[in-house]
Amino acid sequence: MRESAQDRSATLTNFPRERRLGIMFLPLSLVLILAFIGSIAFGSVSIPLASVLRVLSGFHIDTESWRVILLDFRVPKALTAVMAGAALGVGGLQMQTLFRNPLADPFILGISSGASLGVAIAVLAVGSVGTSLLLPNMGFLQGLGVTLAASVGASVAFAFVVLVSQKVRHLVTLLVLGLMLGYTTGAIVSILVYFSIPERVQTFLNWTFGSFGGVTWNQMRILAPVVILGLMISQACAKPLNGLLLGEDYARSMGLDVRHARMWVMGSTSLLAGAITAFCGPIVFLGVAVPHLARSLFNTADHIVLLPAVMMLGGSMALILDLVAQMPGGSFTLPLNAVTSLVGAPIVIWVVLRNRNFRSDLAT
Amino acid sequence: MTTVLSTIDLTIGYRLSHRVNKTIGESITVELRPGELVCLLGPNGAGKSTLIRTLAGMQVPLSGSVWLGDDDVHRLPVRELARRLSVVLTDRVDAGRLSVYDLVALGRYPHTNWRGHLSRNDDEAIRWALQVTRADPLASRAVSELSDGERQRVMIARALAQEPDIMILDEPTAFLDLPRRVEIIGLLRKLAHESERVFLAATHDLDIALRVADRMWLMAPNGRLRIGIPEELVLDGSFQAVFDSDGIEFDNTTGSFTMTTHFSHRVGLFGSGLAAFWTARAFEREGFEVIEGGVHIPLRVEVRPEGGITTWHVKTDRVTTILSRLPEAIELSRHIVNEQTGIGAA
Repeated sequence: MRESAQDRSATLTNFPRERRLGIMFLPLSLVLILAFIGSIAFGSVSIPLASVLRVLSGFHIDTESWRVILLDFRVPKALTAVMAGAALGVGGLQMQTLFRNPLADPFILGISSGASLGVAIAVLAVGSVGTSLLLPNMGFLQGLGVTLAASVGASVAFAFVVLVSQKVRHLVTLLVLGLMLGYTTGAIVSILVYFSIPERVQTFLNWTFGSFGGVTWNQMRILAPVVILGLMISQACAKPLNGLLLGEDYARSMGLDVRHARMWVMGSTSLLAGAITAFCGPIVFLGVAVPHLARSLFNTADHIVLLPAVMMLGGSMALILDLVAQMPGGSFTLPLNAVTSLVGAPIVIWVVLRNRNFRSDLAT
Repeated sequence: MTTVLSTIDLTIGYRLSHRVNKTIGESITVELRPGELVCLLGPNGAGKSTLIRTLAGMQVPLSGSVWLGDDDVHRLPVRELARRLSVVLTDRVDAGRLSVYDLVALGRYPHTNWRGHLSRNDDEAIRWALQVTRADPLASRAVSELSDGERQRVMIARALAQEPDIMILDEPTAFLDLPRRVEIIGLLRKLAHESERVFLAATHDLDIALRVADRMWLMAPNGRLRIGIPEELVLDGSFQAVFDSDGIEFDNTTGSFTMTTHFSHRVGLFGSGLAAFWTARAFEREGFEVIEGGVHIPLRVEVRPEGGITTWHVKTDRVTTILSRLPEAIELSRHIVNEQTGIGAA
């Protein structure tokens, strides 16, 4: 019976993934490279493009201060932006598929709530006593202290998520738990803010604005491996994610160990979201928007295509939005989160409304 | 005879707490043989879905076991089970931009490697599944653009691409119009007979199932199963026992449900063929007890299909009125009986 299909198979169009990948990824990688160079070339100190390219390709330039600015500030910042965009995009894609909810983002499980509580306690709680134990000095170490506090908070939330993902039967329960976790931490944070001194509130606020600029080469040694590990796990989850497109019952009936898959998907998302939140603050919008852009651009639901697409698209978006936040030529920078929302939200609205599939994208 | 799937003293239901179980069906012993289409019928709430889910390994039984050949369904690794058993559920699938080809390709899930790479063999299985379900013209369409009937055919193609020994379907004809229902059940029958696969479908389409099912499982509200070929179950009164309830009864002669109404008037009907059949239906709906060839009834209707034009002759002992439309015949008849009983005259 199977064999009889062969003679007519020529009339069907074939849809190899490999071809779809090839056609779209070339322009996308070009955009990513241009955005990367652009984000290094522009800044508050103007450096000629020729010098930028010389430094980037490993040549020596005479102006030592330019070299320092480029290699110690702009390059790590651009790398951080790429990693953040990729990580949040992948996290958002995984959560949207897992929960079959187009508005899900990487923080839906409460990772950023945990991180912000950690930062709030470190920055605000000890404020009235004077010098904080967690933040012994101002300046450079303060940045690291905030990162540490956020990491601890995110890790606690991460452990909670992985533990609960094994126990809970229905996904909706997880969704509600994440939401309630958010409200609870939000309440504690607002109490801390209320009783704190303005300077410390300002420090906390600065963290919530988000920034790619705080990561040094030393910190990069922690951030990069964690993000790369998270991205690798998520790549390995491509097939299970495809299985989950039809819901957990169908996934199970096709041979997917749903609890196992859930743990890896949630685990890698939490790892990615946690690492980025710890080093850059809670970056909003990217996690929701990038997966939608990727789906619309590639017109597919196949995660083998979507995962790399989301990484490249997320990286490019983060670089471009960060460039916009710096207001090239201007002397001040805008809060990153304001830009991601202001520029990003209309893009998503446009993409969603333009597409004839938007109803099926939004319905669950 | 070999069996593909069998149960041993199965008790199905839910575990409400550590001590309390809600039992839905007890001592269920059934078997499915290669190449047959079995329809599971029963009133709403009898527990058809629970039985289906338990047989498919999606829900654990309260006691007893389900066997797929020599393996316990609930002990098999999920991947191994998926290679031998596939399902079509009532869950509405809304996978956004998934194309029909990609959706059917998901059926290869238990056969592909960790990346889900589709080999030539997988591709052939997908094309075969699309073809036998006549879904191949849909291959490049988005799933979200399909009609309900097309979507259901594609979901069956997906389950078929899994190349199982047995496919279990939960109400595959729900939400479909009548031609589409006949088409889907007919497709299942064809697939069952042309391959050595087994198809078990829970359905509410009694009249279609009566015609095409090789065997039937009738599930009573108490969870008891009656099993047999459809005609056997009609003849031994199982259908009436399972389905009869207030106001509805199963008519053994037509194999369909009728509403039990209390007739207030009688009409004698003369004539034969299609026109007479539907005339009788119309009068029954209007509350007339139709007596074929009832010469002594005060009100009689004769249906005359002459030269392709049907006329209705409404007769009392005194007058005969010839009408060209059925509604007029009914209206006149109602008027006549009202006068005869004195209501109209009052």
